[in-house]
Amino acid sequence: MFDCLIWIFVLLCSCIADENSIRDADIFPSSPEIERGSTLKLFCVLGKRYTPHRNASHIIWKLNHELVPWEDYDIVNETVSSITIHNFTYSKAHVKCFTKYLGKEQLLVHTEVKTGFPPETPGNISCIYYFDAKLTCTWTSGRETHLTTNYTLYRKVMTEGGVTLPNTVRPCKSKTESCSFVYPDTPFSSSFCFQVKAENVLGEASSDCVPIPMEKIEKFEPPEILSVKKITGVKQLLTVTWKMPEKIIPSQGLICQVQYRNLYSNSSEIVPVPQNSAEKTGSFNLTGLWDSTEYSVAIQCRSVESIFWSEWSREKTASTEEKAPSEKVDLWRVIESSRSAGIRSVYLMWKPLNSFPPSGRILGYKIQYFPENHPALKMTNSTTDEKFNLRLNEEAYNVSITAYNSAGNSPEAILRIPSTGEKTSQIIETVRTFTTNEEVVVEWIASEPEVTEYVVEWYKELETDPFSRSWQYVSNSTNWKTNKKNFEPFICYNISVYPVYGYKVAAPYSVQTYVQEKKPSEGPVADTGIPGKNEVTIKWKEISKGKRNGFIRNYTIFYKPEDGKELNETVNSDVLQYRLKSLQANTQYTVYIMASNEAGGTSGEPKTFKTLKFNKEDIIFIALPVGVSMLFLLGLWITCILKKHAFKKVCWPDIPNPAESVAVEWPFDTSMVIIAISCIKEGIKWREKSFSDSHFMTK
Amino acid sequence: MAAADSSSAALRRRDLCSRGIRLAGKMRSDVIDLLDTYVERQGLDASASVAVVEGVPMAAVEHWDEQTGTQRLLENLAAYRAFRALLAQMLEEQQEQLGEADAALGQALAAVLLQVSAFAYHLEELLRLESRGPPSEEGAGPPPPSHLGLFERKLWGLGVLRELAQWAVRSARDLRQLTKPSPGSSLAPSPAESP
Repeated sequence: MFDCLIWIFVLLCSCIADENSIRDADIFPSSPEIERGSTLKLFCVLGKRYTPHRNASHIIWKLNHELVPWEDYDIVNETVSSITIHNFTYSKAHVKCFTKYLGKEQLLVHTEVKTGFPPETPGNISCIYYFDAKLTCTWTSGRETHLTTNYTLYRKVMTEGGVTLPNTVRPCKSKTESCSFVYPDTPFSSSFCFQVKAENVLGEASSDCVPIPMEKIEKFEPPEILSVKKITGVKQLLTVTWKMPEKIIPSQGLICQVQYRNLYSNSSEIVPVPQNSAEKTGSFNLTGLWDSTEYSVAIQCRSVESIFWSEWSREKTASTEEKAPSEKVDLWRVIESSRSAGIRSVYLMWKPLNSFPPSGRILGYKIQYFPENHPALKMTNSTTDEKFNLRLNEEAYNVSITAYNSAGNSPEAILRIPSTGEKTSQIIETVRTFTTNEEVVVEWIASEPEVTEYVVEWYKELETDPFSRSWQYVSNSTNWKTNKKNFEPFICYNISVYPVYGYKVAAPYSVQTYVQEKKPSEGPVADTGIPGKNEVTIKWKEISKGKRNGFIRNYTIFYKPEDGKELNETVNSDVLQYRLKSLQANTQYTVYIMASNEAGGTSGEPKTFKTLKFNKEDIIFIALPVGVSMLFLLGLWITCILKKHAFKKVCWPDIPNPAESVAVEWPFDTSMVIIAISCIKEGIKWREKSFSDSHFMTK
Repeated sequence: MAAADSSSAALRRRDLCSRGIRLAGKMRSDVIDLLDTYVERQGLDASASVAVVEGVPMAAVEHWDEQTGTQRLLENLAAYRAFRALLAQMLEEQQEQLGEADAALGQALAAVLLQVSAFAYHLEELLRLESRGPPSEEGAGPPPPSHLGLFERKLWGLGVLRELAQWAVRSARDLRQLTKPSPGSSLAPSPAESP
């Protein structure tokens, strides 16, 4: 028991023993902060535990793992070594102290060295007093010190005798370039000045005490808008009421301003409004506003002395009173011809009012129509769309459209629909369209200068929906321009100009146009038909409208024999076939057709054909004689077969051989003479018969 | 030249008076807030009545309307100098008693003290403008009655703050009176008006 106590006592004593006898070494100053570029001097003290075997000469220094040069070393005494490094410019560095004994290095102690700069004089002190909340001042500190720098903001009182710092007033401390005094430590005075002191290990600097009267830097909470509303029966006006913030100096001169934003046009205006500082609430009438328009309103105030406005209050929104629409709609129509039983579709379309400012929210449109000769048969429809399809018979009709809102109706827009087949005069003599860099221009010449109103209508050629047509009224002009963006490139548009006088529409003049062309999307397909020996007729069909991409100016037919030179022929766009002549007979040809517009040409699929060896005439001239000859020979052969005896007798008659003849007395007997004459006659008959038989066979 | 100087001085006086009215209004508002804090921290009843507070200048005055402008300013200045000393003592005692435990009350007292000091300086400026010059200060002012116990001292402090609030109201009226034009001397007694 007693031995245990002794041991405990020894252990306690050793813990309380001199620190130097336990630690390996010590370095000082520890964690120094010095001015950049100045001289660094550090000491390393060897602990007693190393002596006497080691001394200060065994101490080596390293700076960021690099040995410090020997010339910077200094042996102060047996246990203390120091280094002196001039112009130390590291922003941060580690310095270590080692012992080197018998070739072995042992780390003793280390420290971090920081360099920086003394603070510059703070400047540009400015403050905002958030009324009864906090007083915040900011300043610029100048050059970065790279060291921990503390700032102290002093609020001093300026008196006749100078500037005093009441000892009851605490300063505001910060490590950044701003500091705030928080309520209730926010006394209000015109006589304060503000001073900032910057301090770090290398020095301190204080600004001048800048006088800032607090009334000049007040910033209140924003007022609160209680209501924004119209007054019944009063047009173009909204009345605004608001409540002042609680925290505001009574009998304070105040300035307020109201911002009102037109939510239709998104334009805003700011107007000053009077505010009695003794009053908790205020109100103001905003006048000269647009009818039937929504406005968003906010308010802000400041003290007459202060340079800071409060923040804008939260907005409140309201609409001014509505007014009946003042202008008629722009009305247009597309008339389709009668399809069945004398009923035709008339597509009415109109545009919202162009009045400025607008008349507010249109609730709908009323359509009225009646036959021109029977006004009593008026019919009425209504719609919220801006289009309507009427089914009318073939009579002439008057159609009117009225827009309405909660305040009333607009004036009527009227158009006359002519009867089917009615001829209207052609007032427009010509129409020309062209494009510039940005615009499409349509110009026309009218034969009647009294007509001052026109409608320009345009739509894609392939568009089938009448409601998709675009149109615009043109007044007192015979030309019209629109942005090119209203037209798609490479699409054919129909553009028509209609003269309008009163509510009657005269006959249009229509043209087609492309605002921009590109070469066709495909070429025509050649049809070679039946080629001849030296000619062939190539036919083709027009490219579909959707693929032309421009007006087809011409077609070019390219044809090339095998192993020969390519030739071509060009024809107008209204030609859809062409005869190629002077072709080589019995030759393979390749042909294709290119359709060209202003932007270029596109060729169709090539086709091949082969010309004939003989043509019809050749066959006739060869075959005919051959045929005739063969027929003749055949007839002759048949005749010969049938009348071979006659032929033989005629061609090869038996001529008695006188050598075989017997002389006899020629009987002069009459009977013998008669018999001889009969034989001679029989012989003549037989010869005549043989001759006729052979002649028949020949035929 | 004299007329121009006079006009310039009149404008300056008007400006100082306007600002002074505002300062007085703000001071009253802060003193009211301080009263609430003081009552709460000191554990007092807000409606407790306090008899005449020793050593504290009284805002109420007879024949207020008969005073000249200079008299008004001098009385105001004397009062606020006294309050400056009184509040400094209150602050010292509060810090001794409660120390850092009640920083809010200490801050509020210090803030009002600073405002009172600044207001006193503002009044001195006004007096200088009258070529009158403020009188020199007469020392730290009367100490609080030492015979008072702790509770009585708290009540005494309550009385000081209440009277200070009254003085803020009176100062605003006095300054408003100064801004009104009067015949003859710019600070001659104005026609009888009740405050």
